[in-house]
Amino acid sequence: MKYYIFYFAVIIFFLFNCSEYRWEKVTTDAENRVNILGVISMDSTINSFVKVHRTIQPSDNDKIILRYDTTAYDTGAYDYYYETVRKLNYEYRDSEVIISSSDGDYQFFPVIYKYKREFKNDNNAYRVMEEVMFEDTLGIFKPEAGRNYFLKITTPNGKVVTAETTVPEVPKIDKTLLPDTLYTYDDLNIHFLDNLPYKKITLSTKNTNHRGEEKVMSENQQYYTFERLYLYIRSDTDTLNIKTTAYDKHYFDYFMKDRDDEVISFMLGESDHGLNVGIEGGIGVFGSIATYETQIIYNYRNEE
Amino acid sequence: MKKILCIILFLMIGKLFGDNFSINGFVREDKTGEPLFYVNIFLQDTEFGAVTNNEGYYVITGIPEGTYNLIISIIGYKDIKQKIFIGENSESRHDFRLQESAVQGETVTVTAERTKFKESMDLSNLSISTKEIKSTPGFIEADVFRTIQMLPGVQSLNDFTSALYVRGSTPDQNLILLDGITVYNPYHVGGMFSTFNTDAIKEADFSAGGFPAKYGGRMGSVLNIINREGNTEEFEGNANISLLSTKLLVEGPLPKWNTLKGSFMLAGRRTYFDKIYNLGIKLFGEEELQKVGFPYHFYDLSGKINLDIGKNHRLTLSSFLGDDVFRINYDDKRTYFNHYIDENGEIMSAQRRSRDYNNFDWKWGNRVNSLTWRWIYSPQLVFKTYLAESRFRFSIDYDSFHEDLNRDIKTYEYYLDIFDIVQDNSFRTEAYWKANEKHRVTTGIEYKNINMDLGFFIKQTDYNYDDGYWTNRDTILSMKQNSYEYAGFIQDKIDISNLLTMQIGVRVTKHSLHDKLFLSPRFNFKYMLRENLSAKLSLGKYHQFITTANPQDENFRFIDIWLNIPEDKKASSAYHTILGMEYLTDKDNLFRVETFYKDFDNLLTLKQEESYRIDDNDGMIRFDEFNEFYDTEAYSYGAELLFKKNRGRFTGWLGYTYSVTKRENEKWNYYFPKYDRTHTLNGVGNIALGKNFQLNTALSLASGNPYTPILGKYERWRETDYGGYIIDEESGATNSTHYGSEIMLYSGAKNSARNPAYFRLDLGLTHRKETSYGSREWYFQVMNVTNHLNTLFYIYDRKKNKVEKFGVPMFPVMPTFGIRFEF
Repeated sequence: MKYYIFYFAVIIFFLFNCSEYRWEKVTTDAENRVNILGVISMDSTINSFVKVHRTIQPSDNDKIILRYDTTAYDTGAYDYYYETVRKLNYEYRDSEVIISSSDGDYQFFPVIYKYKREFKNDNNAYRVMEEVMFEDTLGIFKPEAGRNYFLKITTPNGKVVTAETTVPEVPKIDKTLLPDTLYTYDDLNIHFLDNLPYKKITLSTKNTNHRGEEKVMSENQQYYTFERLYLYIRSDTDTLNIKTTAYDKHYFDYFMKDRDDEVISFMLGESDHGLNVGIEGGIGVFGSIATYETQIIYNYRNEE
Repeated sequence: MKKILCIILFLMIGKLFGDNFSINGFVREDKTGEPLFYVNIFLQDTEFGAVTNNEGYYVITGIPEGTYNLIISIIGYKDIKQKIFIGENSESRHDFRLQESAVQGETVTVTAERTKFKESMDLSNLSISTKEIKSTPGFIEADVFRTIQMLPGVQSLNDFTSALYVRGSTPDQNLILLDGITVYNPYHVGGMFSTFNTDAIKEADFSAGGFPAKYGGRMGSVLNIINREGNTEEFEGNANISLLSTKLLVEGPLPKWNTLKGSFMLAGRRTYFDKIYNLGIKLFGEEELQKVGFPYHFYDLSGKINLDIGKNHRLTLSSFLGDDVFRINYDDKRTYFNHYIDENGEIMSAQRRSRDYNNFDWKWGNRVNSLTWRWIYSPQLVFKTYLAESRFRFSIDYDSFHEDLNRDIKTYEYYLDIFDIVQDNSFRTEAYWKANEKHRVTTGIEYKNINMDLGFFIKQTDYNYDDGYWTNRDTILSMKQNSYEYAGFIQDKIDISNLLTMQIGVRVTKHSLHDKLFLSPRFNFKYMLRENLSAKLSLGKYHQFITTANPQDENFRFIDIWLNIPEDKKASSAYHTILGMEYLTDKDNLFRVETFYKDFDNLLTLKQEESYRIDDNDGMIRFDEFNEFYDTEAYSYGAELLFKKNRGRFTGWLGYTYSVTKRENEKWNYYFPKYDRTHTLNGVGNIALGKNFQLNTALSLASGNPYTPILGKYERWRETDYGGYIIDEESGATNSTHYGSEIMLYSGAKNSARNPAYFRLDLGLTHRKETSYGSREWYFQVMNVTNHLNTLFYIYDRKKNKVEKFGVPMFPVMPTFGIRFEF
């Protein structure tokens, strides 16, 4: 008899020993890895650049505040405006970035860019994001189609990252197959002259401020037909801009390829092991693009 | 020369069958008629003896003519000593019935440990009695799978599943048998409980590896659940109520007629919460609630009829039927008024009647039927033939329509049908031949036909008053597979000397989807280092021709989707190497240490990302046939310690397992699977407290399960749709912002981190009282007494850009109770 009283006393005691259920920070001993975005561009709207970033701990902030600035207005309702200047916690700002090719070495230097945005309900306070991109500030870097470029980055803490890319040829199309004037709901045939593996077609009109139509070509696909093409135009006539872009394999694999990420958490969505295409000593991508543009007249016609 | 050879041959035959005699028979429990296993039978002061097999049958051969004292002995029963004459014209069949005995102050425990220690060749084998199953604290009620999970070498994935992960093998690699017949998906409530009613079980025979050639088709382990045969002497039964279910078992003798006699056993179990809930709603609930009711229940029904025809023939009809049912039925007829404006501008109203019908019927369960014929051809030769069917069925039927009762038209109808059916029809015959005292041969052939049918259909019908009916019928998935298998096996248990016994065997299989013959050799060796100390070695190759399409990192093993291994893939195989030692004390306490190594080849991991796609034509999800797999290799190794105390006031066992399992395929380099636990310590104890009280304990301490950790965050670059510009304020330079980023989680290697260690202590108290009608036993149990937080998996969230995790817990502290009556 005494035994079961004792054991049940133990049970009663332990029943009141409740464990706590709570959220906890995710910590890890994993070292931060260098994360690169480098693009050699023969697109006139995009300068060649390199971003040198890193991975951060799960419990680190994405952005950190650099400083608070107060600046006087020259004119306006307020005498002063206030800026909270922040930067991404991912950046390696003081890295050495060198791009080499057969015609020499080119050092890219950091350029600080700012985005300015207003706070809500506050007309003279701004959030400012600073971002550093490494660019050819000396203006001597002139990429050429078909040439190989090697990237070498040394971060402030001594990590070395390398990569290479070959700039693709300019993706020209057969202009003789283009009509002088294309009407809305007509078919548009695009035929590439060169057998480049990775390319895309982008169509836009002067009035649209985003890519109107886009087609990423399958590997080695040479031609494509936009059937019954319609892009919004404000008046009866406009200019249709046909832009073709060719990529190297690294760029294509990083930005264009479908991938299956692992879903670790339904609340956080997908994750991966750090997407890396061709970077030695880090993750990210170093790729190159070449573009070609031409225009034709684009007129409105009722759909029949 | 010819004459001499004939004489020699005649003398040899004479030696076999002439001057020497044999006796055979069955040993049963006196009260119930149930066969007793591993009973020791020997002729006093001779070397002739035998033990009963798992049907209670024994045979002793090669006995010279004479009068002997025959001793029948097993712990827990009164010995029988009987003088018999063995010789020409004497009766060779001797059946015995043993009466239970109790040693003062000790718990009555039937144990055949000593004879089993001497006779059994099987490494890694343990038989769990129904008493041990019932006394092990479990989740709400006793469960055979959860008891097996407490044995060394067996791991559980988490508290929510009773599936068995044995020495690195997944649950689909376990051969689960009910009276020798394969059962697919032997679970209730999404895997929380096994489908076997513990009241109907006589014994559960479990081999964690190294199982002999008579078992085939699986690579991991064998669990043979042997149901009770039924009391041959008198009618009796028991009833049991727990928080989960009610159970009833009745058994008794069949009416005798001429030489026919037999017994039956019928056991049923059903959850009852739905009945109580529905009654409560009917009495006190709202009308709307009454329309729906509590949607879930499960039941199972086991039956066995044994019919003895004369002394040498027995027919056994064994049946099992179990189902989980989730059903929601909603049938609503309404009357309402439709207001409209007529041609005169007046507001009119018209009565409308409609009906909305929804019926969701989700069933999953097993049906097993078998007819077994045992024929004692001669004392040394017994045949056993099985004819069996085993079917697992999972089906979801959803039927919904909207009916315009004014016009008697169904304006909308929707029908959904999802099903997975495995139908296994088999024929098997086995022969047990005791050639002489040194050779015991078992051989057999088997034919198995398996139909697998997996489908997903949708039918939708809409009615337009102008155009009439429009029906869309769609087959999302249809996958039928039919295969057959022929197998033959032979094994011989050879007493090479008094100290060394060897069991060699081979199984040969021909499967319809594979061209070659599959050879599965099996070798078991046992050497008696001392009378109480044995060393064993087991080597074997095992093949498997079916697999499951379950996610390999699942936390809940809700259902097994069985598939044949495709023709273009090789059959899976595993090599077992097991080395062990056993020591049995004078008080029948068992110490066992074993090491094992398993090498798996040609495993398959389903490519789940390629099993479905979005149809370009209609945007619907289509499931492709599940035939895209990663070729997978795996290995596991480890060591186990077991201490089992079988007698005395305190009984139970303590087991420790060290185990490493790794898998590899083209997607992932060698990684720990979700069920790998490096260290596991399990203990089960039963203490007789006196005055009919018994304390039951179960302790489990184990390494945490692996999971893929989040190591950090990084930006994954992407092209943006806009082509804005950012400005360098110092120089005025601009750059386009064609590239943005999304913050991604950056995870470590697959399953490279571990959950915190797992700990759980369960306690239970039982009290038994004899009554005028039989007995009454109540029990009270508390699961996870310390309310330890065991992590099932982590969920993550971003709070102010910082990633935090929350460990979703397994079972908290859970009390449960029940009562059992025997009559």
